Order: sequence, then structure tokens, then C-alpha cells
Amino acid sequence: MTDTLTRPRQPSTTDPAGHRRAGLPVIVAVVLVAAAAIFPALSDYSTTYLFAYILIIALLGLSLHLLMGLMGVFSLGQAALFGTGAYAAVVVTEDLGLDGAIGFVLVAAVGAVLGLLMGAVTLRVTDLYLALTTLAVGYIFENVVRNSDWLGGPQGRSGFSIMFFGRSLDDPRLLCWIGLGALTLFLAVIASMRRSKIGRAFMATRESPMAARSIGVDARRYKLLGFTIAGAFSAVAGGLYSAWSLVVDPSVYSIDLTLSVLAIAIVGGLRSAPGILVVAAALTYFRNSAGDFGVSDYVLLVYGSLIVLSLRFLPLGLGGLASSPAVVRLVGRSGRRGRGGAA
Amino acid sequence: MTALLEARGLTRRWGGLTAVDEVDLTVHRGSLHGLIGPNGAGKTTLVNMITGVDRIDGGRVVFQGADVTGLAAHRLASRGMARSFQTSQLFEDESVLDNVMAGRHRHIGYRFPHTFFYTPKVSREERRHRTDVHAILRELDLAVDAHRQVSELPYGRRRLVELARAMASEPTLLVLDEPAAGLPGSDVDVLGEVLRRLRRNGYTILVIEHNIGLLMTICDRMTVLSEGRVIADDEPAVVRESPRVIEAYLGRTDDA
Repeated sequence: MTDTLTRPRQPSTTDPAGHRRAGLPVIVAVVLVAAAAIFPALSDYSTTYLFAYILIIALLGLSLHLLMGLMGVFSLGQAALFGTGAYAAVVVTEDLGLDGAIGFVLVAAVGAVLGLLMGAVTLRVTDLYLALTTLAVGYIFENVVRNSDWLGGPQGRSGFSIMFFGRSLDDPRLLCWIGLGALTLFLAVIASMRRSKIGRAFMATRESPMAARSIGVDARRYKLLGFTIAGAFSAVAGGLYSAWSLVVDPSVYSIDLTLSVLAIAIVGGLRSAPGILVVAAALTYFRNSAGDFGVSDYVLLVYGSLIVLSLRFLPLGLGGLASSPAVVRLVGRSGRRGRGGAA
Repeated sequence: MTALLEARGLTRRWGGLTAVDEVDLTVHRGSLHGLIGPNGAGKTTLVNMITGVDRIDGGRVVFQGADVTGLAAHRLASRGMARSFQTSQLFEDESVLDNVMAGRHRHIGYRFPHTFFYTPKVSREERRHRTDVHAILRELDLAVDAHRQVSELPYGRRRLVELARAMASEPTLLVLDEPAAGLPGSDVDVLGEVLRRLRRNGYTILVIEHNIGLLMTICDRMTVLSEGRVIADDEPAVVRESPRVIEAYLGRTDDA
């Protein structure tokens, strides 16, 4: 009945946006991933070890990109998912004796279920209330774990060995490759969702829940979906962290981790995956070698300052550098400061 | 003509105040139906109840022959009831194309795993829907702005984007909440022309308007609300002559 208006009279006009977006970034991404995959094979042990940690943090940063940047949900529950993933990896590979190739699928499933639950209990709250509720989930889990003897209580668990394809993950190169695989998968899923129906549903829900419903988007369903995906990848990050640190204790649930990942996501740009990846690498490197610079006492101060500077001069973070009003206005000085600050 | 939408005895109370009081409203298939009334008459509340945005305290809504009373907004939208809002609810930071593409939501069929791994199926379907959306944009003369950010557009164009987004869902019933609000006179004429054209193309439209002149010239039928009650429901020519309408509405705005 309404076809006369919506069915085109002639074949589609060219669609520059659709094709332009598909071409170059994919090539760039493939090249970068390939370079990152070769990197661990060439670098020394400690650099590779640091690179593995950067990948773990980047995975968490991307989960915030999904939740806060794309869905507009202010979640502080990353530590709960991360910590649970860390413990789940130990239980699955050590207690159940599974190889990581299967075990990490289970870890992801545990994270997905926990993410789903977290989404479900916060369905009726938004903004700050949601942030505090998700934060509380982390505290609850920390206390449960601290008082669970089979998880090692306050001392946590150590002396486990997480195997992947029959090889131990205490080889940081293998850890890097697994982490890189998870990161690439996550990036691909996010990029695909952004350009499709789900991405627009997230966008609609973020910008105007009322308008989202008026075009048939079940906002609650998409919120649960987003939490589920973010939960799965955060848990995988946690599982890799277990393999990386060789010890898991209740401190994996600490607010410290949540806040430093939040800082990375804000400074990198909540809407920009590349920005988050760059800042994840830069800030993690900075934090790791703060001792060499003699500023280890000031790490959190630097993080805080970066958040403030970013919000003041780069509201969209490093990823929004080109469109930032401050940069556009004062291409010279504040542009350099923004870049220097983030790097 | 058959009734597409039938509301019977719709009531909404806020504490002691009855904002909408036993309102009956029938929109016939293929008609352009106007809903007018002075400020605070309950027009938006009524439409919010019909479209599932607001709660219903009493009465029934029948849409396409099915009882949809109290159904959630997104379910009604999936059944073909699209609406625009009085205050802009556009996705400001996104392109016009993306805004309108979002309106296609209920027609996009692909599911997992396609959405997670941009498969050829997704690519094909997205391209097809983009073609449809471009047709709508051309129809509303918005094609030149397809890739511009909504926040860059002037007010009148943004109202058109909102209309385009509602149209993109290929609605059986298109509900427009004050589409002419804040538009300069020349744009109101353009809008009137657009609405007339949509009606000719088979759309059923329910328009809430303040601008009584606009509705008088384009509507097939009008319902007039005053203080939450229906005081007239007829063709524009009859409504225009109704003493109750003149007293409640026209009489007061004549001097303006």
C-alpha cells in the first residue's frame, strides 16, 4: 500500500558511504593485526610480556567502548566480569582439566551469562544508578570469592598452568597470539554491529530511548545483548590475565582496574575503537615503566589529569581529535597539548 | 472505508486531574485525520496512549482489527504504527542516512551470526534498504543532505528527517505530533503539500496540530479535543461551523 513511496523508481544511485567505509580501514586493520602478530616473535621476553598485558587491557577497554560509547550505558561492572573470568579460567582449566581452546569458550560463556544477569538487574535503572549497581556487583563477587575456600580464599590460587592447544600459556608469545585473536574477533564483531541493524539499534537507544521504541527497537533486548557480548569478552580478558599473572586473588575485582580502564576509554574516546587501542597501549606502557621515569607515585594523578584534560579539550577523546572544537579553534597549541597528553 | 484505528473510551488520570476523559477516536484506512484542540486539551497524552508511550487508565485501542490496548511502544511500532515527536527525538550526532536507516529496523531480517560478522547477506540487505531510504530522502527532497550530520541541519529540515524516519518503517498508520510546530509559514505550506502527497500515495495519517489552518485544508476528517473530551468529530467544513469548537478554540485564537 505504501510501496509507491518507498520502492525506488530507478536502480539505486551509487552509495559512496557504504563502499568507502568498507575498503581502506579493513586493509589498514589487516596490516596492523599482521604486524602485531609478528611483533611477539621478534621482541624480547619482557616486551612481549608487556604487550600481552596491553592486549588484555585493550580487550577491557573495548568492552567499555561497546557499553559506554555505542550503547550509552555507564557501566562500572567491568571488574566483576574480568575477575570472574580470571577465576573461571583457573577452575575450567585446572579443576576441570580442559584445554584452553575449549575452556576459554566456557569462560566466555560464564562471562556472557554474568553480563546478561548484570544487564537484567539494571534494566530499570540508568546513569549513575546503573554505574553504582554494576559497581556493587564487583564488590559482592569479591566478597564471595574471598570467603570461598575452593577458590583459595583471600590468598587466591596460584601454581596452576593454563594450557592452550597443549602448550602452556606461560609463554608470553602464545599469550599474545591468543589475546590478539580475541581482540581481533571483538573488533570484527563491533565493527560489523556498528554498520548493521544492531549498531543502529544501540545508537537509537543511546540517543533517545523513546524514539528507539517508536521505530520498533526493543531497547531492553539490545541492552541485554550488549551486556552479554561485553561480558563474554571481559571474561576472556580476565582468563588471559590469570595466565599472564600466574596468580589469581580477590584483587582482580578491585576498583583500581575499573578506573584505569575507564580512564583509557575516556582519554581514547568512548566512540573510537582505534583511539582506545592507542591509549591502552600508551597508558599501560607508561604505568609499567613509571618507575623508570621516577614517577610511580604519580600514576593515578597522571590518569586523573588526563581525564580532566581530555574532557576539557577533547570531549570525544583521542579518537575525536580531528573534530574537537578546541583543536579546530587552536590548531597550534592545544592540538599539541592534546596529542602530547595522550601519548 | 474501514477503520484502521479505533480507540474507545480512552481515559488517563493524573491524580485528581483527568487529562483524557472517555475519548473515542476512529481513523479510517487511507484517510488524513486531524486531531486539534487548544493547549492542554490532552492531544499529546491521547496520542501517547495510542502509541504505547503512556499508560492507559481506561478504554480500549483496536489497531488493524486486533486489541492492542497497553501494548509496549516497540511492539506497536513492529505492527506498523510509526510516529514522530513534538520535540525532536533525532539522533543528533549521526548522519541523516543513519537516522532514517534506523527507521527500517522492523524490516531488516538478518540475525545472528550475520550481524556479528558482516556477511554478504548483511551487505546485500543493507544495500537494498539504503536504496529504499534514498528513495524516501529524494521524495522529501532530503537527498542532498544524506551524509550530513543531523545537528548541522536547519530546524525545518530536521523536522523532515523525523518524518522520513517514521516513513522508513513503511507504517500502516503514521502518527505525527505537531509536525509544523516552530516552522515558518512557507515551510508549513511545503509540509502540507508533503502530507497531501503521502495521503495520495496510500498512507493513513493521524496529525496532531496546533495550526488549525493547515489541517482545515488538508484533512479528510477532524477530531477536536477540549479539556480531555471530544467536542467535535466530523469533516473540516462541519467542524469549522460547530459552535462548540468556535467557542473552545477558534473564538479565542481568531484575534491572534
